[in-house]
Amino acid sequence: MAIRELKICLLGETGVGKSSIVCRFVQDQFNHNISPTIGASFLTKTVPCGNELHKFLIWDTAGQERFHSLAPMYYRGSAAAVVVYDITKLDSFQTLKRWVKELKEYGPEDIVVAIAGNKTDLGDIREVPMKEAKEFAESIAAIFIETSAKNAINVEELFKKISRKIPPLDPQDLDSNDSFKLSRQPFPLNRRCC
Amino acid sequence: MAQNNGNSSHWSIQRRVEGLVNKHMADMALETLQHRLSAVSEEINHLAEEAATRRAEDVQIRAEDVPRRADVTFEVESQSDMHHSGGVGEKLMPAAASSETASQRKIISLLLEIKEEQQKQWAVLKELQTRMQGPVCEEEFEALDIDLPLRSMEQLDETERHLEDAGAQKKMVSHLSRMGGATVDDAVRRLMQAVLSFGVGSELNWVGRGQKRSFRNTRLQGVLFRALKRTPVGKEATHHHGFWNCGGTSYLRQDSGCPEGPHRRAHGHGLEKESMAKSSEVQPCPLDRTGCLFKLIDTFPAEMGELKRERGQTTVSLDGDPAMVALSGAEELVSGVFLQPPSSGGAPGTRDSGYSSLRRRMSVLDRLVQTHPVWLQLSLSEEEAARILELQPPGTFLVRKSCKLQKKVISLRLDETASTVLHRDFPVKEGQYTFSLEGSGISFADLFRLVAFYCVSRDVLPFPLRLPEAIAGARTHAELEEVAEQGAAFWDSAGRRRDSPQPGRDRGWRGATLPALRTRAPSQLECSRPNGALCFINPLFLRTHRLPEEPSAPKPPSTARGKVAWVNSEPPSTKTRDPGSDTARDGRAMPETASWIGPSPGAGPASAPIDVPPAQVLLRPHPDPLDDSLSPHTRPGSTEEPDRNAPGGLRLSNISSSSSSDSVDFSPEIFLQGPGASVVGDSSLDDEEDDFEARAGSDPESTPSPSSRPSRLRRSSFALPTTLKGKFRKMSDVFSALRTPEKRLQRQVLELSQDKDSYFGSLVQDHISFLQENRGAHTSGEDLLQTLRQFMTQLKAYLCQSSELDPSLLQLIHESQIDEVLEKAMHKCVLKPLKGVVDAALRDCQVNSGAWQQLRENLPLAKAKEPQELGVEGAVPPDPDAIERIRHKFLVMGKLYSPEKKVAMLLRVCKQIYTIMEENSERLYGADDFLPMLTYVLAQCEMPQLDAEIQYMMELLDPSLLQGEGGYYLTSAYGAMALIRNFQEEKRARTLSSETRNTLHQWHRRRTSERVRPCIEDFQNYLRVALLEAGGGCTAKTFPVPPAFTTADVCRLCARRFRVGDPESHALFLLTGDRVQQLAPDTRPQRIKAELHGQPRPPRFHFLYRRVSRPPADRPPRAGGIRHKPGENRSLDSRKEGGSSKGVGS
Repeated sequence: MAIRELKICLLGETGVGKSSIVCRFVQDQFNHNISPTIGASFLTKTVPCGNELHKFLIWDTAGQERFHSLAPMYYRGSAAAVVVYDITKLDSFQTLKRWVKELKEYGPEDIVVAIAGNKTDLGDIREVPMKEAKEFAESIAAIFIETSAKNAINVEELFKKISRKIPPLDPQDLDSNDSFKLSRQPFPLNRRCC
Repeated sequence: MAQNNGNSSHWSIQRRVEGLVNKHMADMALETLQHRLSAVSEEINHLAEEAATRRAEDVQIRAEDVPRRADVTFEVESQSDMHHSGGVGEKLMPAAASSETASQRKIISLLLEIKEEQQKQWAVLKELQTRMQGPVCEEEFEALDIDLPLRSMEQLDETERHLEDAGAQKKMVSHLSRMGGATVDDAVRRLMQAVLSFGVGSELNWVGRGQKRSFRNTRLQGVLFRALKRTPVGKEATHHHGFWNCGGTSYLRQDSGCPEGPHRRAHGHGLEKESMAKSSEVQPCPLDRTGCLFKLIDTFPAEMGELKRERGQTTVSLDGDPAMVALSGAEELVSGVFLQPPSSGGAPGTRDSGYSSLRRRMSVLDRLVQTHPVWLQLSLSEEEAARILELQPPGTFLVRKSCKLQKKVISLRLDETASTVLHRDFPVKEGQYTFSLEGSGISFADLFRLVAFYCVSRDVLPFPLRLPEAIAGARTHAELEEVAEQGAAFWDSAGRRRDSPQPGRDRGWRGATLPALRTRAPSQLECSRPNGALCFINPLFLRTHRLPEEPSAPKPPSTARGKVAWVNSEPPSTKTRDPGSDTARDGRAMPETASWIGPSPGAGPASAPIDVPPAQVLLRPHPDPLDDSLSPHTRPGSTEEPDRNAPGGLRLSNISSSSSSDSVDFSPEIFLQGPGASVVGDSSLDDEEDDFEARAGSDPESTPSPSSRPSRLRRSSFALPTTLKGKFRKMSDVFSALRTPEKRLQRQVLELSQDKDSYFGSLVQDHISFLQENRGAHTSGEDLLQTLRQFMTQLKAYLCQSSELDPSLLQLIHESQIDEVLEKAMHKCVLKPLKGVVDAALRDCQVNSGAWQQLRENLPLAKAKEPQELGVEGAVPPDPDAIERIRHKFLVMGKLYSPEKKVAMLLRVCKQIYTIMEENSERLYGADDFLPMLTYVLAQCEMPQLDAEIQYMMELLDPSLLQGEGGYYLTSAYGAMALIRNFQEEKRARTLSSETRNTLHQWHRRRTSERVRPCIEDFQNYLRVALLEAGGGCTAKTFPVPPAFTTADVCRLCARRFRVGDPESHALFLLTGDRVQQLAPDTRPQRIKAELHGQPRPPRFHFLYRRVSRPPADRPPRAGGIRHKPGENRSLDSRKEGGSSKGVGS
């Protein structure tokens, strides 16, 4: 099975639980198998998908406004971006919309966008209705899922969905992905990373 | 001893005696020296503390030390030696006593004194030489109340009871510890012979398997072990099992003298196999004075086999060095694998002592490596392979690349009687660093080892691989060479040969049976002796198992020559004798063996010098080792160095120094063959030897060439005996690094890059000197670094395609590894020499661009901020101490040249920050916390030079690493640095300046685009066209555009595909550099593209589909209004970046 390295970028306001989701994802299963890493802001995990192995290289970003301008460096070249908001904070959902807009505008053309509403364990103080978020996600053809990193709900699912949406390594059929933005390197269709 | 040898070999023994015994004397001197020194320093300490008790101490030390030394070192030596060693002690002690303060100076003077002493010993040597040929002195042992050797099991029981008494144990230990022995191996053998008679030995068994008693659980075993520990050689070794293993395996070898060994049980283990094979050789046993005692040996193979397994499984070891244990796995098997030479060789039972056959032995690995043109046929198709194998006997194999599987496979000829197909393919699985057969759990460092292993063990195969007769039976390298030269054509002739075997030559195998193979533990390989086996040995094993003949083991051929020339002035004709001449060889083999092995305890003078941990002298081409060790080369540094270098360690340091004299394509196979080669006198080996000698000669020890010096110094630091054990792992690293094809490839590249005659070398050297002379030529740091990066990438591509590198070496490396290896080599041969230039140029650029100034101004501002002001929440920031440590790491980082190592250092810093953050917290910190903290730390470090460092890494790091952890933290560091640089601005706008953002984008664009493989649109019939939308957006599409299409056609296509409403107002433009040209409707874009590509430096160009009426000021690439586009726009095809535009009809 070919291992494919996929860069995944995590975006979202600070405090929405970006890191928690990743930590949950990376550490829950195969706990013994985690490659030792420097810290939680860059983690990797390999999952099987079809006849490929997807190695997620997960780049966490700092959500504070002052670091906003650095984000392009992080999401550049990503196969997918997970934009996280906190269902108990309406503000974070507004921020998410800005992120999505920026991604659509400047991110890699065929980046897979996933919207994750975190903290479903705090459903009783929910501020962002699921319906609204879901509709927004559909409008931009993004993956939508509500998660709880704390209770390990849907975290695995989130990444599975992303995995499924990553086009398989098939260089043929050029016309189907003929719409690259001039400015971007094509999504790594032909190459195995590293 | 001499009487054993017969008169025919008189000259030989003389030579041995003169050469080797002398050296042993020198060894002893060094050994003595070391002990004296330790005694002296100990004493000095004492004296400093309590001067009053000086006399007493003096006496005590002398009492402790001198007699023991005399015992051990000069035990079997003549009395004159005793006298001398005593003399040394006498001299040293008073000298030490008077030197409480300037101990170091004293030690030096003591060294000189020892040297004098040593010269006196030279005189003794002369005497010894005469004595060697004279009658042998018998040794006297103090009486022991046990009658050794034990002749019955009852006696053994009695002894066991007797040994319940600790005093008796002690006595016996002290008695037995005088048995001596050149090596652990030798010592064990002597001990065992002295203690157990054959009858008893045959009733014993290590673990008590079968009907036998367990030797392991006896007290006697403990006593023997302790005795062994007390011997000089035993002190070096700590591996309990290793002991018995060594000893046992040496027994094993000795068992060649005992055709009727009773305990040959087939356990399927290599050792047993060997013992079987061995004992099937009918040999007279002239070496053995103690006759049947030797038969004892026969009981040990089985035990040893078991021990080995035990060791591999439970890794029971006294010092628990995992590296040693780990290495004892397959590696041991493979490197010790030998083909049993045809036993019919030579006239059996006449003059063949068994050692002449050793000489013919080359390891399977050796044979495989040399003859790979024959069996390694990667290009062979399945049909061709089938055709070849059809004619071969079952077991014959080929390694080829299967088109179907896209993998290397071992095509194995099967037995037609047993299966329906004639051959089967076994795919080779190539891991990142390993090779293994699919379905097997055993992996190997390279293909050769894999094949070698499967020549011995079948594992997942139906039966072991079988080497063609010509290879398996070859006795010299020349023969192998001959075979190798035939390449694939060999099989044709081999097919014929099978039908008509060559008469009179014993290169064939006995009948049609599968090859008889023997596995030999490294300690058994007599690679060390001039007449020893030619083999490949893991050097670590040499060290661990201490070969019995180790003294001469690491001796490079030059030494052998040197010896002849210096000591004896012997005509060198001995080395060029016909290798096939058995009589000549036998004549020499026997005496030498005899003088070396000294089969019985107290075998006389010859065994005496061996008692000292030997070896150190033997690599020296110089007859006076002490001179050598005191030479300026080894002396500098601490005063202990000379003597620390002396005993065990020197051997290794000398190996490395002689080998590192030409580190470029040094291969341990060669140097370990050295001694064997020198006597075998095989022509091909002589060549190697000459080569080797030339290298060694061109680089005498005291004047290492600049290039070899660093590695030598590094390695020789491993050679300090006191720290030796701990260094073993590193040592093994060094050696395995020497061995891996990766390293060799790297070295080859490096060598090539320095060779101005090669195309590659001239490219590199020219570029380097160009940059050195024109370092101001680059406008910006990025420009310079990008040029470098591009240059390295091109060089790599060139190397991969050109034939300047050894293809067989490339073959050994996994495809996915080659780039990495080359990348490292590039760093070494391009970045290293340019480090200073690049650093200075980067600095200049920074200063010129004002970035330096900006950073200087903002850093203190940022530094003055509290962590909270930089966004740090919750986590505890590092204290000043930690900041200082981090600063130190950054300083170290600045000294590195390799971007990868720099990044590794950066990662260590990040790790440290993380550790501090997580120290008092259960929480895991993500980027939300880390990035502010990193910013804070970088500000606290206040190192403006970091900016250039990060730039260096970002631009030069292998693009393939950019997506990983290194890339992540590098990005973070860059971001943090950029925030700091724009601190004031950042305060105002809370964002990065647009300039910084642009830099980031450009960087990322460049770096990522470089990684893209040739896009489909580079190929014919595709054209990538960008649509510049009215709103400033840009979209590119790739169309199939046949060469015949004109611009008008393309425009139509674009209009359709981009869904442009008003195609009339749009046109196709060619964008090259800064110029935009509208293409005339009748031009053919594909032609233009081909033309541009055809230029020596293809310029970067794009086809642009846009409105005609756009004023030039709004040209997309320079347009200011588009935030992200500008830089990226050009990036579309940065591979093609470059020169100016070409005239295109507009």
